This record gives sequence, C-alpha cells and structure tokens, in this order.
Amino acid sequence: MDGKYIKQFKKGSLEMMLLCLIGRRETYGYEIITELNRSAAVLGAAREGTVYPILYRLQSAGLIQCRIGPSAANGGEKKYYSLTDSGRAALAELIEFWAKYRDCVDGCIAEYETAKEQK
Amino acid sequence: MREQYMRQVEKVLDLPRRAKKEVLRDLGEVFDSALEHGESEADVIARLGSPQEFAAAAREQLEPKNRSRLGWAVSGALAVVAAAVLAAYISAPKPPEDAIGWAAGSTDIAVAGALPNLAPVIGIVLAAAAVANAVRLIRRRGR
Repeated sequence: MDGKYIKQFKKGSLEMMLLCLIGRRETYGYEIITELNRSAAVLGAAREGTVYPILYRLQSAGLIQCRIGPSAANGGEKKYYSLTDSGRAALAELIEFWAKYRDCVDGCIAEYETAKEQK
Repeated sequence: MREQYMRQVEKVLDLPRRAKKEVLRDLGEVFDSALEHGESEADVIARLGSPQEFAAAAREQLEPKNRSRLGWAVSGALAVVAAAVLAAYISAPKPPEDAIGWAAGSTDIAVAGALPNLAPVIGIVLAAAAVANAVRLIRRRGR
C-alpha cells in the first residue's frame, strides 16, 4: 500500500491542526512550520507550499486574521496570525465532530478486531 | 537564488495585484525566517518545490471561485446584447429606397437614421468584447 489513504487523512485534518496551533496564541509562519515539524515522524515534513495555501483559505473564509508586526529577532516584519470569533466557533465545532468521529472509527476497529479473534 | 525564485513566482502567479503582492510578501518572510534560523536559501527552495508548484498551490486557494464565473457571466451578457442589437438591426423594417414621404417627419429621420447606422458597429464591438473576454478566461484556466 502506498501512502495514499494516509495522505488523505492528513490532508483533511491539517486545517483543524492549524486552527488549534493558531488558537493557542498568536503565531507566525515559521513558528507554525516548526511546531508542525515536531510531529514530523507522524505527519511528515511540513512545507510552506502546503501550509500557506491553507492559511490563505482559512483567512478568506474569515476563520483567521493576521497583522503585520515587528519581528523580535531580525528587526524585520512578520505576519502574525490569530483566530477570529468565527474561527473559534468553527474550531469548537470541528473538535466536537472529531470526538464523535474518532469514537465511530474506534468502534469500527474494535468490532473488526473482535471478529478476527473469534475466527 | 532567492531573487530568481521570487521573480519566477511573480511571473507565473496569476492573481489580482493585491493578492499577488501578499503572496510575494509572505514568500519573502519564509526566506527571512528560514535564514534567521540557520537554513540556507537552497534548503528553503528545496522545501518549497518549483516556483510553478508554489504559485499553483497559492493561486488555487486565493482565487475567488466566483471570479471566473463572473467573467463568464459578463461574456454571456455581452454576447446576448450584441445578438439583440444585430437582430434588431437586421429585422428592422426598412422603407423602400424610393418611398415618398419617408423623410417627412424630422424627428423620424434623426431616430431612424441614427440607429441603423450605429447598430451594426455597436453589435460587432460588443460581440468582439464578449469573445475577447472568453478567450482571456480560457487562457487563464489553461495556465
């Protein structure tokens, strides 16, 4: 099996993970990439080419907002992202769905495992 | 290397000016932050993929879905108006060349005379605009 199915899972949940990351505290591009890469063993390496387009989509959907602020380190500027009110509401909804979804999938797996043992 | 990459993205990124500026600004920050953390420009570029890939991914998310739909609506409306103007011109009853008294009413001459002369021109211009707009949309989609 190639990673096709796993890739689909990751694709679907990346938005929720990004909303979580941004919801913790105001953050910027490189920090988001670094945070995601802490889970690189499971998620695979995070790339700007994947993350930024999702940020654009979340922004145009009004779920996140950004401001340009001074960067602490290099004297330049950084774009800082934060959740909007509707972003917070959307994330709450996603988290609730995720819990139900996980139970559903786990239940399915448990039944499969039981049936396998009985054979 | 970085400048070349950004120029390439700028060249292939087909977006409204403001959105494009935004993407390029963000791309600049990607390089700045990475260099600040000890990465090389080559590292960043390896991660970003080709300028074409990067531009395509950004554009996919940024281009409003209804932008091209609106474009097609404009094209369609232009074509309909063009057809109506041309049809009205063609089907408009024309007086016989030798009609006596046709030019009798002074207002009649002005109104009836102006429309038949301008109608085909207006119709053709509108039709051309419709076609040009459609061509533009098709070319953009192909990119």
